[in-house]
Amino acid sequence: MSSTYDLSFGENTPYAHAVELLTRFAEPGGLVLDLGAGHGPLAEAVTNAGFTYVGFDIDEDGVSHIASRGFESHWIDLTDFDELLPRVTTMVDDRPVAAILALDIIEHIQGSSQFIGHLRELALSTGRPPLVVSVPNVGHFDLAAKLLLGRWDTTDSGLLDRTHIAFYTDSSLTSAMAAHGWSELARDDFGLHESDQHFPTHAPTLASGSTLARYLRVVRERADNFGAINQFVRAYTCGDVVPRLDPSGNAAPAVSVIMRTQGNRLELLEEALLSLAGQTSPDFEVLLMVHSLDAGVERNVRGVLGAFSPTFSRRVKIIQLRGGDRARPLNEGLREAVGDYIAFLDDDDLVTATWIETFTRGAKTRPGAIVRAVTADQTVRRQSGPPGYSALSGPKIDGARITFDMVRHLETNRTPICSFAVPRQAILASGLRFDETLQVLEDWHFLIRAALICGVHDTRQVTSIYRRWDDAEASWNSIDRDIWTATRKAIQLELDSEPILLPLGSVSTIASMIERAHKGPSDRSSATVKQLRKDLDRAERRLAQVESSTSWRVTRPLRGVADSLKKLRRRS
Amino acid sequence: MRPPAVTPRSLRVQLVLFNNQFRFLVQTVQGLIAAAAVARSNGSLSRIELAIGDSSTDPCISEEQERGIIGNALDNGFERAWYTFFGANLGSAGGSNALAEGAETDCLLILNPDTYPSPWMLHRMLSSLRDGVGIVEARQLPIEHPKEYDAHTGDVSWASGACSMFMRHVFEEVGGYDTDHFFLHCDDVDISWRVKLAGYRVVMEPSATTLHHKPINLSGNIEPPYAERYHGALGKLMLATRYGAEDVFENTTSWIRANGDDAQQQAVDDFEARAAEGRIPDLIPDGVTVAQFVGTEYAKHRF
Repeated sequence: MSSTYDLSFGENTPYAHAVELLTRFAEPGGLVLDLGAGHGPLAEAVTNAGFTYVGFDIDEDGVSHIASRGFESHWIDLTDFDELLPRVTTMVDDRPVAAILALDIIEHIQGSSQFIGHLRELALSTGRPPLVVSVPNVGHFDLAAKLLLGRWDTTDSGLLDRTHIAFYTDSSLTSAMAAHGWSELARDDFGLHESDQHFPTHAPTLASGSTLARYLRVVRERADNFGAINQFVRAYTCGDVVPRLDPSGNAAPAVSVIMRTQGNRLELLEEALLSLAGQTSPDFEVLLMVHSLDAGVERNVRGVLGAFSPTFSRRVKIIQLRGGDRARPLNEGLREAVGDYIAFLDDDDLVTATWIETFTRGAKTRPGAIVRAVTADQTVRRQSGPPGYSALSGPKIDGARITFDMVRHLETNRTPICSFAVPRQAILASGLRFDETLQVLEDWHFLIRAALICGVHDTRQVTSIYRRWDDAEASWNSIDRDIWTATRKAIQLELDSEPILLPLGSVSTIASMIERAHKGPSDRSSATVKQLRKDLDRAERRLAQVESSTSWRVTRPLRGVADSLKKLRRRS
Repeated sequence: MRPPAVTPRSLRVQLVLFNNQFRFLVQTVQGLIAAAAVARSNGSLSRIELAIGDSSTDPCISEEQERGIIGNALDNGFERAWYTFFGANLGSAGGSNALAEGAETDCLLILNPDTYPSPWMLHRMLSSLRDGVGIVEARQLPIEHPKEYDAHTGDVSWASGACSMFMRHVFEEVGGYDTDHFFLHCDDVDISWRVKLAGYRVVMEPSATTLHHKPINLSGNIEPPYAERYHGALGKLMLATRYGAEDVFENTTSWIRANGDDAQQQAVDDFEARAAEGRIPDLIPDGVTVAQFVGTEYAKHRF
């Protein structure tokens, strides 16, 4: 990755990336139409690659400069959309066009979106050559970090060239190109970890040594892969027009429920689905992730679902997937989910009729936070005959788990997966996924990272039953305790590798934990040591008296005690 | 082993409303429609009808809503469906008796309107009404009732009125619910024991499930409202009187007098007043043969 921004052609510049794409997708020998060519910094490189360079620009000096180097060049006003197509096609005449270049130009044009559409018309009129664009990325970390300081520093050139009038991020460029029928062939984006906007260098949101900047960089990196991209350099071909999606569209359900099943406990699946079908709020979808290699399993699951009322079953999407471990269906579900919030349910758990309603109410009370309810544990045992299990205990609630304590959750999990819902936007913005390499605790790992971003709203409502199988294949029972311990430690080490954001009140929580730790056994042990020293002093004084006495031989056994005391003193 | 052949039976489903929300009633009926389809396709249901009785002070659904819900049932496989506004609070016992009047179906299902039946519930309950069974109870979720039942035969001390299916002739033979002495609670215990005295079995069918909307408190319990505490205590004294459990009666009254809440104290006061007026049940001499008083419950509990 480069460390400087350079307008001239060079090996490690956006222009070089553009020429690289050009040589991959354009037929040599044809014309390369460089729209907005300026002084034609690519002319030599394009010619050397076997193409015929033709530069177009509104700046007459630039046009002359290109011509003076022996390349064809023409004056054009690219903002005159009526003249763009006839003028370029006239210049091209019947010559074959190998490619169109639009480098550092789209962002300068009023109505840049329309311009992208006109580029397609031009391509259609000149034999559908590929298009290579280069567009600055206003989603670069440096710009975001500076906006947090209230800074928007335009410059003569670079990311915030003061002549820019259109601004693109990866998603807005992708969407604009697709909306005008450009289909992406390849990308060779130009990265700059520190862009020309990386100033003032010691600003707390920017400086690499600052904790805040490190935290913000993690946030930015998780949102997408373009926080360190300076310039989007991409090749396109004429494709289908893809209508833009309305980003503010609100047809999505309030909650997407990702439900895992292996389809081998249909009687439990039936009950879990029943508990969803009877929800007091219908504002949810269910992604029923059938994790099985067997096609018959999916048929069986479909059979179970098909018996339910269509008012429920039409809100359930069955997705069969093969391979992967416990976390795979959760991640597949995250990709499919469209709800505002995402909740999780395994096929052997049960929820109360207000499970969804509690989540949606919580989301209204504290938008954007994880909504957390309370889970009751119930011990059950597998048995033969319907329904295949028997409850051994009533629902039990651990008082220490009614509310979420972020600090304590860093030590171990206290929130079953069926008791929380995460805002989907947080998942999108932070690229959150379940770690498929983990054999256990994948839910804790996910929850902690989500909670550190969103915070947690406790509803204090009991809305789910977590069944603890006292004799069967629950992961708690079937997996070696050492794996749990090692996994927990690994997750903690991973969390240690980045700055974290703790919720309100954490300082007092941590301080009191430390205080308790100090006051506890250590205080007692220091009191014990003090008392021990007193006893030793007394014993030694007594010993001295004994030793100095004339009858010491009769007190010989005491000297053995004295030796022991001396040893104790050394240890204390 | 092949399951025993199922005889198709006709069924009347009875819902007694008391200030219920329409949207939840719609849901319950949707669940019943799906369950009826499964029962029909499995050969256990011949015809089905829906009887809704409203014990609220004012009708809890509008005429338009009534048309909608009845129309929905009739359009989806129910041969008959109707709504009746009682004009008085008949309680669960009185409402159920009123709705059962004139029934010609083989079976009656007493169902709480705050439940959502599993698609297989009707089929599995209907299939269990054989071998001398007079009442079959479904398992409630997500918190199942803790009373113990025989894992093989399903035999149980009593069947909950939240979701119980009767052979109609059995219901009629015992005279339905005892509305003179029970209003909301323990009516189901009483009728279960009377059905047993009449020589029939009462069973739990654990594979037949229904979701019952009952909030769980932070102690993991279902919080009983005032009416449940009042009628629960009053019902217990009635049961103890009818089934000859003098020790239970004495222990209950003395415990309530010493520790009971307002609702329970009121229940003891009212029982004493009713006793003075002769409005308490007569002793059933052989009642002890079917009655189970275990601690504070009417069956041995698993947890």
